[in-house]
Amino acid sequence: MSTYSTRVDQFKKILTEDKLDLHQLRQLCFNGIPDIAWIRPLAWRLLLGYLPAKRSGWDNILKAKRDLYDSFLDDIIINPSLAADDENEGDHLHDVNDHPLSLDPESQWVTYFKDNEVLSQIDKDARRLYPDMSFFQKATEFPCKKKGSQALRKRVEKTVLLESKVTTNRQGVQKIKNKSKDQEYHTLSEGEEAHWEVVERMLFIYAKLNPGIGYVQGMNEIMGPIYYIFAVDSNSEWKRFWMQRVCQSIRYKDSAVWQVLEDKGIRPEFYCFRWFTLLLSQEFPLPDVIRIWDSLFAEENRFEFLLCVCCAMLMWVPPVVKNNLIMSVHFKKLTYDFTDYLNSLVRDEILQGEFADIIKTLQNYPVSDVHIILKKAAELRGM
Amino acid sequence: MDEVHTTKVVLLGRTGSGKTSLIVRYISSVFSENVKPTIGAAFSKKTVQLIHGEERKQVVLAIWDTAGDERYESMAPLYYRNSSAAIICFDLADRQSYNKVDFWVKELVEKVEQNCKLYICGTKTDLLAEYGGPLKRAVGPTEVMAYAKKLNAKFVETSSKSNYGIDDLFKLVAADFAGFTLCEAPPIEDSLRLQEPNQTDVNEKSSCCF
Repeated sequence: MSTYSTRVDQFKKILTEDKLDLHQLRQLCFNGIPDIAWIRPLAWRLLLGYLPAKRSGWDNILKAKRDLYDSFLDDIIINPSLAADDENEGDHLHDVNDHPLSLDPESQWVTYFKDNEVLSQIDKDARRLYPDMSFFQKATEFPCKKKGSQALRKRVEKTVLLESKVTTNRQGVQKIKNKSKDQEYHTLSEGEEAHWEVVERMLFIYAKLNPGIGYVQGMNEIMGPIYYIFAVDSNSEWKRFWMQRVCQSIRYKDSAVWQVLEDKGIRPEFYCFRWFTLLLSQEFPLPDVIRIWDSLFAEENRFEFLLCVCCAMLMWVPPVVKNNLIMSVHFKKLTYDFTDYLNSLVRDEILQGEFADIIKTLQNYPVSDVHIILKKAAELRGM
Repeated sequence: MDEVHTTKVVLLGRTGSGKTSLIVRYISSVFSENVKPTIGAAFSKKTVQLIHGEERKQVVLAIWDTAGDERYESMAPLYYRNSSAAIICFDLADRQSYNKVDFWVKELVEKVEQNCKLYICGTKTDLLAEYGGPLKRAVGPTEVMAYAKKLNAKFVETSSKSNYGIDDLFKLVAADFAGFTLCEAPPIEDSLRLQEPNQTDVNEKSSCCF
């Protein structure tokens, strides 16, 4: 344990210096990088030469690189697809001499269709990136918000449909349902974007920028881990990191509760942002807060323990009457039997309630016996 | 059976502009001088009944009240995402609070939420001299009206303390969502608009540029 924490300290020391010693960093990293939220993303950026050793230039470099990528987005994805979508304004595509069936190699339409072939290959591979991990299927917190950027996946969805017609031929007339091929992939709602779509866009831009190389199958596999590490970088918002941890822990400790929260779209930001930001001080009456803080302050890994308390709050706590606004139908149903009522749990509320009821219960946490919560939290910590 | 629809409404605005008070008044019909600042966001819901001739509809408003502190601004997208209506609040007696409205409008309009209807809500009318309060209007109504018109947004004024305009505001939000014009019911929008021009002479001088 002590060797691990000294290693972490070494990393922290190196990574916070104004001019970083890359040689020393390489030596340290060679033996593995600790799984602490921000260390690996930063270390990889340095090792891969994305950031220079001098800290003072980082902001400018990051901005310049992001702006550059932004302009690639405009030139390669946004403008062509906007022009293709926009029947009236895309003047070069609606030139009389340039039309979808043009044979002229300079034709914008020819390029557009060629690109779609590459894109359709990338699309197939990107969708299958780490299929056993849910991460890439989930929505990114930073979807591309530019007008026209959504068109990328849709551009090839059309192509996928065309291709499935071919398989229909092969399998006989009855198999025509094949054409709903895209249904095997879960698609996110408008305005959301899955992580794999971001990977897809990056691979497509790379292929367009490097026409000699283009896209080669397998590139997605290289992109995957790098993207994953950078995307889960929680340097900017440690609270987000902790909120995700609550989510992960609850999944591990009580999968039924996790499943319901997940299915109903109740994200940790909806309830535990305030729990963490205010160290639970707004969730309980003052004497209870003070009691919780006794334990919290005494605990060496205070935030780990706070995490356990949050999990315990989701899982175990017997609510006592607070006010009838908060109590959902499920609680009311139980009031006739007082014993049952006392034993009913927030967990039950979560398992049976609807989105609105669950969020309301979690945001107005029912008065409960804080000692039980702490006891359960201590048990969870030991798990 | 009435048709039931659920819609997501988000409240945005500078800290202290009265977002939480507005919600508390609407949901619980009470007013408190000392509301704690919102951390993160708070959720509440209420059902609105709409009657339009033969047609009856129920709209469930799922309302997200957000934090006003700038430190929490980066969290806002988590809460306003996919909202069908945004109520952007400002304190009628506080120019700074009005200046922040444009920030939220830009955030919503330019970045993501194209389908989100905008409502600009001037709060705390009870504080204004014209309603017997101690303070002067910081923003002339014509200025706000012109701004709202440009955005195709609706402008309303409320007071959580004297319970003025609040039910009407949420009824308007629900009606807009359900596609009701609200002409059978008291013409809320008109009544709200009508009173603005009457007051324009109060301290309207240079702020109107049209």
